[in-house]
Amino acid sequence: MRSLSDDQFVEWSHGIRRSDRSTFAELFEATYDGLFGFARSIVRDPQAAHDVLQDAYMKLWQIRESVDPNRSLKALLYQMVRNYSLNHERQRRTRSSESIDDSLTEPTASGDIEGEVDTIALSRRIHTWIASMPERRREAFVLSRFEGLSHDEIARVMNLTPRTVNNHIVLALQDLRSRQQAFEAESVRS
Amino acid sequence: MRPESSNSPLPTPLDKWFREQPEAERRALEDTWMLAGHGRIELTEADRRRKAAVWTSIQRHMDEVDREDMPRPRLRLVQSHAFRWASAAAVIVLCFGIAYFFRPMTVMAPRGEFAQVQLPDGSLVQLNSESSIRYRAHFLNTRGVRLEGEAYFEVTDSDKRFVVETFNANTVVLGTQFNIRARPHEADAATSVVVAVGKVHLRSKVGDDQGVILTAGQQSHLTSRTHRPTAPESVALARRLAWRTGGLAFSDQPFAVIFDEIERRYDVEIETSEDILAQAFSYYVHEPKSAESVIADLVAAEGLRYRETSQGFEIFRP
Repeated sequence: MRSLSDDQFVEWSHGIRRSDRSTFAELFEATYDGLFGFARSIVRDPQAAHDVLQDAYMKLWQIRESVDPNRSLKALLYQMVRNYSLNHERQRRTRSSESIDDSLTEPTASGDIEGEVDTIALSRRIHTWIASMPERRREAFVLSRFEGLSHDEIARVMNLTPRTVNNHIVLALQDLRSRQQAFEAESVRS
Repeated sequence: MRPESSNSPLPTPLDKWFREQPEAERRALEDTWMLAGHGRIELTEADRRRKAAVWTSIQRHMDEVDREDMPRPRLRLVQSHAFRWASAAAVIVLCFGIAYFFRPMTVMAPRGEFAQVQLPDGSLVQLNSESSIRYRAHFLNTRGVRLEGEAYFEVTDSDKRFVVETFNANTVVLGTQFNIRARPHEADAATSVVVAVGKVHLRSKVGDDQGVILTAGQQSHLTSRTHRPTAPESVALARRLAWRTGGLAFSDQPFAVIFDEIERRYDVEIETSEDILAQAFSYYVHEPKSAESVIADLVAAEGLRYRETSQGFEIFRP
């Protein structure tokens, strides 16, 4: 979703208001991967993330006639995915009575298979770091860094002020920075 | 990434904040911002298949809601639309072709199915429902595979170590047959290993614990709480391996675990209440006829009731 222009979203808004299926197909194809990444930052289980997306797109089709081209369709999509994801996590936690902390610990990257490509190891490590951030900090960071949403858009999606969004992102970066430093120090020692 | 409007890769308000920081600090944080780019979550092959399935479901849903509010003009499927999808599919196939040579392989048994894989070294892997295995198209010094879910391994003899990596454990073997169950999203998630023939070494990926050696007929569990495998215990192999021939076996396990397994095996959804989920039950069936026959057995034994729903079953107290 990162390279999609606002105009593109306005055009799509008009298309889906007309119930044009090929527009909807185009929107789905262009936005799915980005929304999946965002959903996965809240919902750990990839299958559940796909389910969340399915629900969100279905809902969008149901409410297509009330989509306002003057308001950001992009923010609306992220907002819906966020709500469905948070709901899912809430239900899962009650069902498995798992603590929040448990649900955030990613598998450790220390036991990598010999010969595993370095970049895969690196991205796994960064996933782990991001996964262990507090929920809102992680959301704001993922939307900014990976989805390319502006601070204003993130503020709308998360129902925060742009200033708070900035604080979250700064904290996330400092967090990552200190983990990176700790990791580098450790690799030098061993 | 956002459109490149300035030299800085940072979004504007963040960039403003950075400019107020000391030079060295700013550079370090910018560096971290760039590095973090590697943390983006990309779709795996399995995700792409799932995405296609999601689109199919959505289309079916669109048909349904359109039928409901009728007066709306019927929608036509334009020719160019089909063409666009065909060419998109062609591009995806081509990308897979290229990726096939360079990337690790993933084999997945979706819900409701089993799968069998022959690894590059001739070893055989049988996958239970909703389980996946990842490995490289060619093994180097170590025969390494990564498993999520449950699988039975028949490993060929070789002087190269064979290592199964699961979310919290490494299981190291030479040539042998064994079963691993590692479903990280379960409550009390553990890597559980049962050996049928030969010997394996199970140890945590973290900590100093030396792990345990398991021989034929023995089982051990490793949870992320302790990072230490349980002492080897003898188990009834036929039961633990019942899934391989389509059977189901549970000994004193909560319905939460049992229903999850049935949902995976038959690709159904089971709805029920919290108190039923917590109840423990033992059950063994060699060749279940259908999801419904299994459910009927369970509810009869426990004095519960069930009814069919659109996607599966609802189980409740009478």
